[in-house]
Amino acid sequence: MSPRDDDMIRPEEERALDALIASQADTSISEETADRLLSFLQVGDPAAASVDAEDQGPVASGVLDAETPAAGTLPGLDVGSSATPSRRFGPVRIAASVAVALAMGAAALLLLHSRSNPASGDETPETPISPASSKVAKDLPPPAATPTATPTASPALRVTGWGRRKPGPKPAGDPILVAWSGRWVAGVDADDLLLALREACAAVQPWPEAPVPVGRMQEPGHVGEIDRATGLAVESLAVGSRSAMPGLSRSASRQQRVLLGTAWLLSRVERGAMPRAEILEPARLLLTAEGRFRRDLVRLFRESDVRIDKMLPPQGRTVSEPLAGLCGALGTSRAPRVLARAGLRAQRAAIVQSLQTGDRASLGFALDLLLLGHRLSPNSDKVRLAPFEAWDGDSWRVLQQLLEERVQRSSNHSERSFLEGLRERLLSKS
Amino acid sequence: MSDEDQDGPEPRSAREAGPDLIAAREGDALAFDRLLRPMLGKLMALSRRLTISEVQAEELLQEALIRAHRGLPGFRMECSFRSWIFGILYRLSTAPSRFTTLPHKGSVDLHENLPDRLDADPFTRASARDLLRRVESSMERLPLRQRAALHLRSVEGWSYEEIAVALESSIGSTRNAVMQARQSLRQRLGDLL
Repeated sequence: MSPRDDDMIRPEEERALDALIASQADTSISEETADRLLSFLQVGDPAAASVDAEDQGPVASGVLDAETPAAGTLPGLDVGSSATPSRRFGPVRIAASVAVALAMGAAALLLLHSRSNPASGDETPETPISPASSKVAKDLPPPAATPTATPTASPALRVTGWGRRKPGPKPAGDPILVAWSGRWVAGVDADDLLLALREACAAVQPWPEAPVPVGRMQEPGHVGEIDRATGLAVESLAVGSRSAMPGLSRSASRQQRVLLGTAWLLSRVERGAMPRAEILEPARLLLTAEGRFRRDLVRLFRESDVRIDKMLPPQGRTVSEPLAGLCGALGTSRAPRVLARAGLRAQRAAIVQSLQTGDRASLGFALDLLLLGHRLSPNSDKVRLAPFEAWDGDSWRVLQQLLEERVQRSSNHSERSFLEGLRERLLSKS
Repeated sequence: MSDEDQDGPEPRSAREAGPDLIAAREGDALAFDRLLRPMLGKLMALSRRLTISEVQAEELLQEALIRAHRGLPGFRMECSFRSWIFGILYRLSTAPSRFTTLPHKGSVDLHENLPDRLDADPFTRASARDLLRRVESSMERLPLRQRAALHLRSVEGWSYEEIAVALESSIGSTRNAVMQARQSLRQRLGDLL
């Protein structure tokens, strides 16, 4: 059976899958939720609504609708209107009209206040509200907090409909961290979060560019390097007081920030909301990271469903070293097939990074790439073996086990002798 | 603009439109309510699929309903009403990031651990919850387009043609999205089939 056939879904599988999805889909909705969702329509008793509209009017009923015209445009007071010559006013009459309008507005507000006062015991009359003001409904707390109130029933909320929608309460703590953790924060969008992640990555890098050797720091063109290096060193030692996250040193706090941002970014890429190329920023950081920070980053990348191997170009095209290194660091199992045909620099970068990570998956990746490269271009084995020779990691035992497994699995005499030779060299080195 | 003002033959769905749709287009709020209320459950189900929490699902659906109410006078009845309104819901879910953000891995939804029914035995309850969680997390990992297409096909039983209208894509592309979604789910849920 070819892999293509294997991908095909049989009709019975299709039916079973559909039945499973349908059985877990919740299409129920409570009457209360339905009322709340449609509350922006404010469908009340049509007769009562017509009485309100005809006999009382929006101001007289004590409700300020968002689409009710401002006081200055009440009938007979449309200042500056050029409708008819008889309705044009001079400055004195305009001032008088404005004063009257303000007085009416104040009276309406007083009336509104008195009617909305719980102590008065009056019911607020239902009046149709326009969809333009219906966003107010979403400012309400969840139904559990106000079980009996419909979103537009409160006169106080209707008054807020005059202006722009008020933002909700500000989240406690850094809004970027809150947004990275998956909660929506007003005024923070994906671009802000991406920028913040880039800044966080830059802040973790101890050296923004290759450090200048101490001996050359006083040479022309490097003036100030000592101060900068000293500043960075002191900053990296600073503990606690100015850390963004309580209880963590500044460097640990920065690393946690990067991890949180990377988790957010990977989830966005997983869902197709961002291109895969965006992950290269934290990936570059991963290539220079060490210790626990590196392990955490590797774990994040591996746990996500982002297919790094899909970022590799078609065979025959140049593979960038950072991308090859990322595949190596993560031990991406499908990558060696592509990388074995890539340039030697990319292969070397991948092997170096996989040895740097040094766990079972990445060491297996390094051996697979070494073996595939040996099959395709045995003359370049020296380049691929150099990182193994220089490696001083502490996972020798794992590497020995993996080598042993591959020796046993290999049916090719040449390959087996190549692997055995490597094992002997590594044994003598360790 | 009234229907009589439009040029050309009347669209098929306009002839099939019920009195509620006609009245709702003319601004009758009661008719809009009667028209929408029966399909709120299905809309909410899709909204739940496209978001990560009940609160976000309600927020997304209400936004879609508001936009539908505003845009209904401009609805030209070239497609079915349900395709039109499901399409609004889908497009809204893809546009702003506020509806699509994922919680950080490891975060706990407090409502998740509350049992739906107290009379079921704990093992059955735990198994059902585990199954639901697996299906939901597998669906959440699908891209939004595949997720919406598969939901409309599997749960609502729509034709590919109607799904393509709602998602504003071609029929072939919709078929492909459903197929890819099924393949991904088979990989993750194969042991349950």
